[in-house]
Amino acid sequence: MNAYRRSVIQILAVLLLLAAVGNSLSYADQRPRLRVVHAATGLQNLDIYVNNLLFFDNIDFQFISDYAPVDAGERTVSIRPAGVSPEDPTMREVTEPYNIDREYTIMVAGRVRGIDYWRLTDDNRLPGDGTSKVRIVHAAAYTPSAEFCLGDVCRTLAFKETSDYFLLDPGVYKPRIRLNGVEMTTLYIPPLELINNSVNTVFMIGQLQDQPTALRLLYSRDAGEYQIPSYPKPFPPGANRPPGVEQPDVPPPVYPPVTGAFLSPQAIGILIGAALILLGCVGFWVARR
Amino acid sequence: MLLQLTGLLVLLSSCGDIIRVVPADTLTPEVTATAQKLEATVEGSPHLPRRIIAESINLDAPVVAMGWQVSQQGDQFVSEWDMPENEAAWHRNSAVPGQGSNVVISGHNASTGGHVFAALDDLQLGDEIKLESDQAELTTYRVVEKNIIRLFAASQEAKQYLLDVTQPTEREQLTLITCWPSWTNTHRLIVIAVPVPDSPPIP
Repeated sequence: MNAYRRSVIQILAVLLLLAAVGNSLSYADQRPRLRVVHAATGLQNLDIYVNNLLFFDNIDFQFISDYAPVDAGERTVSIRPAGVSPEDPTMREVTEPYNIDREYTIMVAGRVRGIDYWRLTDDNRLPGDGTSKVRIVHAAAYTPSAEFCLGDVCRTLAFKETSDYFLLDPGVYKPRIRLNGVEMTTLYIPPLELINNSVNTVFMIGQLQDQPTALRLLYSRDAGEYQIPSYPKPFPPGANRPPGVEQPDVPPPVYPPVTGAFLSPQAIGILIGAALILLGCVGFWVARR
Repeated sequence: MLLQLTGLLVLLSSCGDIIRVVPADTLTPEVTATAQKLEATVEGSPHLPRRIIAESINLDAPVVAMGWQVSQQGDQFVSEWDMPENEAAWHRNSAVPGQGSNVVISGHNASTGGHVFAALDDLQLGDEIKLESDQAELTTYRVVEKNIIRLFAASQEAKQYLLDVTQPTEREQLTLITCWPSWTNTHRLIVIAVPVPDSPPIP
């Protein structure tokens, strides 16, 4: 009987333990998650602390971190220059509530003397098959209100403003930006690919400051299926190497190949001709003197 | 040609790193053809591109696979593209047509080599480009973008663009690369095309 009672107690203990572990796991799944976007072109690399724990290390301009879970409740996010001691003064420190099962994006923009910090609440619920969900964030400090257009959908935003989430057909889009009514044609805007059933954010970062190229668009796929293409393993280097020659497994060049000469033969001929004519003119001028 | 020489000086001193982006504002959403992932490795794949055709610019050229050579410089090994002279060069570390990612092909302009892509700049938005595989399968793409990138004293932005343009993409696209203008190599011309929706997927 004692053995029977001991077995029952052991089984109950195991069940309790499993329940506790399951509960903590499910809580972990529901923990709020946060990420950081470094949108300040004039700001050095940053360390981001949450309740004095280093969460994001040495993030630089244009960086969008992954989401990281934090415990729910009031949390203090501190921003420090990368590498400094946690005891050093922070550049910015903000305490805000973080709720269970929510996701947040912390935006850092501006300059050293005027760092801008704000928090977005993300809605990463998938929109369903046949569509994709997008929002736009104006995070470019010292930059006027901008009109963003994706396809036929346009939103006008001031600095630190975020558009609503809107739905678009999956496909490839060329975002358009108008500042003060002027289309930003000098700004390099890469195509935006919206895949089926995904959630996306377009961040305008940097700052205008008379240099349109200092403005950039960052694209983030916040939720949705993405599989890295199943690429073939790069071939052994040296397509035309002699058989049997051992070569180290060096990755391919990162830049495209050179596909032209600095000057074509015709251009060289013209250059030489022009030089001869010039020499002739000089000779003629010297002879006349 | 004197105009070309003057043009060279202008090009070398041009302030923009990406001096032309086409289109600026008119790209409409493209639904790309559903591309099947290929099970087989690329090496020996029957889907390797063997011919490139663009009727609008009278381009009909063979395509060969381009690998890279390795040389030792001091303590480091450096890789360099093994660029063919007379053919279009499919980057062996890029995707094959129908794989659902970035198919990258380079070719010489008119300043050297076989002039395979000498007329690439004449491609217009909407023009069709066809890739023929070993098994005579045709994959048709449509031009959606043309960019010209200055390499001479290039900015970080231009370098980054060139790094990105040969990287894998989440959807099928064809990336054609050559030097620009046709008589020098100070810039790169990048043409991006996406599959025509009714293009038959590779079985």
